[in-house]
Amino acid sequence: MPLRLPVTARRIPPVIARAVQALGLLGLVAGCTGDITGRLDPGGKLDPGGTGAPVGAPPQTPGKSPEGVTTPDGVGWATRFPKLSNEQWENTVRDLFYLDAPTDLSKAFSPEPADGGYDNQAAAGQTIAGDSWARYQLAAEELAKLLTSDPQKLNKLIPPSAPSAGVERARATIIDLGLRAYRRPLTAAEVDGYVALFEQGSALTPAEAFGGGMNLVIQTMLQSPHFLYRVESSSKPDGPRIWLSGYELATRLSYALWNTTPPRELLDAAAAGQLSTPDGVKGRASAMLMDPRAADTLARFHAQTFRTAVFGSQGKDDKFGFDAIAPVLKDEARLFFADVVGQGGGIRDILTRPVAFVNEQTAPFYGLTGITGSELRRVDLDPTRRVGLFSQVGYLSQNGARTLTDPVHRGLGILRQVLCDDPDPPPPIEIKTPVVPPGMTTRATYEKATACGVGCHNTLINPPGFAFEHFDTVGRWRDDESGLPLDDTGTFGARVGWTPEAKRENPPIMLEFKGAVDLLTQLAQLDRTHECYARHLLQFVLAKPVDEQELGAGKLLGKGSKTSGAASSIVSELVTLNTFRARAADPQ
Amino acid sequence: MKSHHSGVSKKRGIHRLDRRLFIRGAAGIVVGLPLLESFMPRQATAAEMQVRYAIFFRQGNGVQQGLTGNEPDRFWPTKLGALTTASMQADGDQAVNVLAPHAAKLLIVKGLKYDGLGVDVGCGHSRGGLLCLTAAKPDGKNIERALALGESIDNRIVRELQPAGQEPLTLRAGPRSGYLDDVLSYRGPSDRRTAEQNPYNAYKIMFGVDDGTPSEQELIKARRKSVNDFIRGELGGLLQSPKLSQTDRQRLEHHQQAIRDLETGMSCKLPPELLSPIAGVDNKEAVSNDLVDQVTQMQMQVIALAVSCGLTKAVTLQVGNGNDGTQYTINGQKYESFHHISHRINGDGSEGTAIVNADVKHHDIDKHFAGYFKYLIDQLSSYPTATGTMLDEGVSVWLNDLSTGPPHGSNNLPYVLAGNAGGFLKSGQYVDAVQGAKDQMPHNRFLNTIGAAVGCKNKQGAPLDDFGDATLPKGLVDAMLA
Repeated sequence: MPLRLPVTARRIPPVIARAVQALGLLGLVAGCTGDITGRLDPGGKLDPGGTGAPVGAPPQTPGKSPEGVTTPDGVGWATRFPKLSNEQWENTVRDLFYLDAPTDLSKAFSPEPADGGYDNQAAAGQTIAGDSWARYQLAAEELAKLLTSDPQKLNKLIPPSAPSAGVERARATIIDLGLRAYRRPLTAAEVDGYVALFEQGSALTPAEAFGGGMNLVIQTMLQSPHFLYRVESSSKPDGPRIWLSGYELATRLSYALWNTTPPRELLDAAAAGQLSTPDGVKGRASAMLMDPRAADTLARFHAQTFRTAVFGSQGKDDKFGFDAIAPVLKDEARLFFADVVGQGGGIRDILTRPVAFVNEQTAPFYGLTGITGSELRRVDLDPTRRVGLFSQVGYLSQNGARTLTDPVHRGLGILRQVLCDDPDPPPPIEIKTPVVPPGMTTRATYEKATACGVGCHNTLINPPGFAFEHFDTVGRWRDDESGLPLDDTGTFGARVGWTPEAKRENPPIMLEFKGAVDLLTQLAQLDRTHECYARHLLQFVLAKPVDEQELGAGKLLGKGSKTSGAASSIVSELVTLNTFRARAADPQ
Repeated sequence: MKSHHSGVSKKRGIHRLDRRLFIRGAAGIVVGLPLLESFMPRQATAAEMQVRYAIFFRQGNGVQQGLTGNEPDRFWPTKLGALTTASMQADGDQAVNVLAPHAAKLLIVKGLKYDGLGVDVGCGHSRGGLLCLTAAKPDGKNIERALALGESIDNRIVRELQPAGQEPLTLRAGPRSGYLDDVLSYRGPSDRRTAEQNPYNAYKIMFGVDDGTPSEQELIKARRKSVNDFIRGELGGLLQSPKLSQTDRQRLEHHQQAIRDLETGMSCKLPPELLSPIAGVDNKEAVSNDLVDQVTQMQMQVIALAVSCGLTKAVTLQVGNGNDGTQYTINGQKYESFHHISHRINGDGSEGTAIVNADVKHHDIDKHFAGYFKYLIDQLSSYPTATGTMLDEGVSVWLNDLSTGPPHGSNNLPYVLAGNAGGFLKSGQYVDAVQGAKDQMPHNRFLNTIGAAVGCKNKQGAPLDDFGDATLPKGLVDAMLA
């Protein structure tokens, strides 16, 4: 059992902290593989960016800190036309038309760009231009044909109370389908427009007048901006914000929690004014969070936050036999997240729960014996050696080189994902991944290569990576490195604040640690960790970057995370905040 | 997917009669294309209408040229000056010599580099990808999140020379990994376009679906007209919403402009022997490592048809990711990851066991890409025009977003062109952009030259000479001009 030092999260004097900060930040953040933090590429010449001299605090305004709004009342800016993601489109048409399975038509759509955000966020800002419009057109035509050529499928769309024939039958269907496709009741003019379309379509195919008319109606609805975007039309300002309508809130809730279109009962609740108060929204959200669809959504959230989809993709030397286990590592992460969320957990558990999911092939990498079969099963781990996602084989191997560990990227993963702290761009130096010479440990080599004068990793990036040095590049525990003693102690300066200015001005919180378990346990107690997790959830639920107006919201939700710890509790609180229930009044 | 080993396709006829294009269909029937007025550039008159186009075919990871260590140069011709089939065939195993049969149509340009614009992004591939066709600064973000702060030249060409709402044809081939999947085409600042990976999707979007009788196609056409009118009206209504942000307004305007009443009836189409294998590709196969050769060729068939039918004036085709990790099969041997080969080791960084003869393997892959480019040239050459073939109506560029394997440098970027854009560019030459001067030329001038060759203008109405970041020197590459 490693020696455990007292937890010492303490603030250091600002003057010392500024001196530490002024030393600058590392040169080894370059990466060219796009895994969790990227990978070093020799010869990449790096220039500074955004590392100008510290600036003074901006003028204080009531209710604001230099960073932004400190109360949870702020409302961030968001597009009024977030586009559905491809997965949302697929889920939506499945539910809208009562289909048994996804159509897979969205596979022909342009993929969302992998720009570091969430898929729903990336999609929200996408433009339907050029050929991406044509893809929606083709899918709409194909789906309309599928639905109207099958009487069973078409009949499902006709309300039971609809007249038995004629245009009025179509009108009733249009009103009902339109409500669910536009996620609000159609206006009288819109209904008339669709009835006119129905009549045009019927005239084109007199032998199949109703089906032909509905074909035109359906393909039009599927290409409507009111379908392809989550349109937020509310426009009456109330001070700095515009409150969303009940239908708009129902839509936000449904896509945020279930990743699909609001079901009829949620639209009915909106119509009945049940979403007009924070408590009303919270009540609906709490009920929705009990549904398996919410569990799926939270699984997506965690997988994208911690980039687990790439686990297993880092090539290793053949001697490790890593290829045999690589395919299941992302599945292990998925099961771990489900375990955490299912038991009312959140970031604290993700960091510290001593659990893994193993099969007979991965068990030896955890030093476990007696596991048989290919199915992943839950096992308790030695809590003195491994706790949480970051000491599982998936993360450790993804952030390891072919044969050696990669403390820089292990540290960067902690910084970016746990603390939402993206290091400044590296200095303009020629960098190369250090080559570890015989008789020298990886840690010693990295410390030498990143010593000040070349680029300073000393307090920010290296330490959290060094904490994992007892795990080799494929995540196996090791007592030494080629006979050399390992050092997994360190002092880590967690930066404070969310803007570059604040991070420069505020003294960091210094964490002295010994080993990964100690570091992860301390991180789980840090306010910033919980605030970061809350900001991840804000970003995911709102499908947009967190902005300065939402600083207070992040702080409030972070406190909730630290207190209750449950991801679902944070979400049910989040949807009551102004930034969820309103949009900023001033366009940007 | 069905096996596909098509070589050069059969001669396909294309003739220009007045302002109306005709193409000979698979059954030898000449059918009319839509009147070119529907594709008329906003700033061009009918008399000026030409079928100028630019195709950018991108290889990653640099080429094996002699800028590093003791490796000899195996890429460039060994002598500047005239290129002939005989001279290239006698010039040893240089990669470009794969193109010897088309020597008279080639323009090979050395002496160009990236101007780093003072900002780097932490990864040579990320940097090269975003600079490659934009010559614009990065947005200050690191690594995979870095984006260019300007449009790419393909976008500029289409924006300036095609009707509003149309976009460049943006294609790719090879496996995706989630890292720098699409690097080339930018709609505008920080707005990178996603490439289509499935050639059949690209085909359907460009040319429509040929799965109905004439009466069925008329029905599709009539329905589309009704739908499009309705949707235009809805978008118009949204655009009148109070207090739209500039971003939202632009997005809706782009959407509205994208809606077009495409002709149906497949007046432009590939013959069945080419289309059938393309139609057999599903989305998963389209990104299969082992089908990269076939998918690349299929995309080139779609490209050649698209430019020949006048449907687009700018195309990008990216093979492999930003740091292309495709394992190419050459002479029956499946090579290591190209990215690893480009590092000369089994690794993405600087750690890994050495790959034996990695420099030679890199050279082999360069020749493989030369073979791809030759296939594209063959495709374009198979469409005759009144004055020659489609090849010389525009310009096709084989380029790389880096210059070398190790250390992924950006000096002496490799540019190999085919087609003279109606006589605007030299042919049959290997030229030095700086004509022997020590300092190489920023590549934005190369992009200016390509833009100018297809008809783009600067604000004063002169040939485009100021594309890219405003701090870069203006002008064209004089050595490239006919």
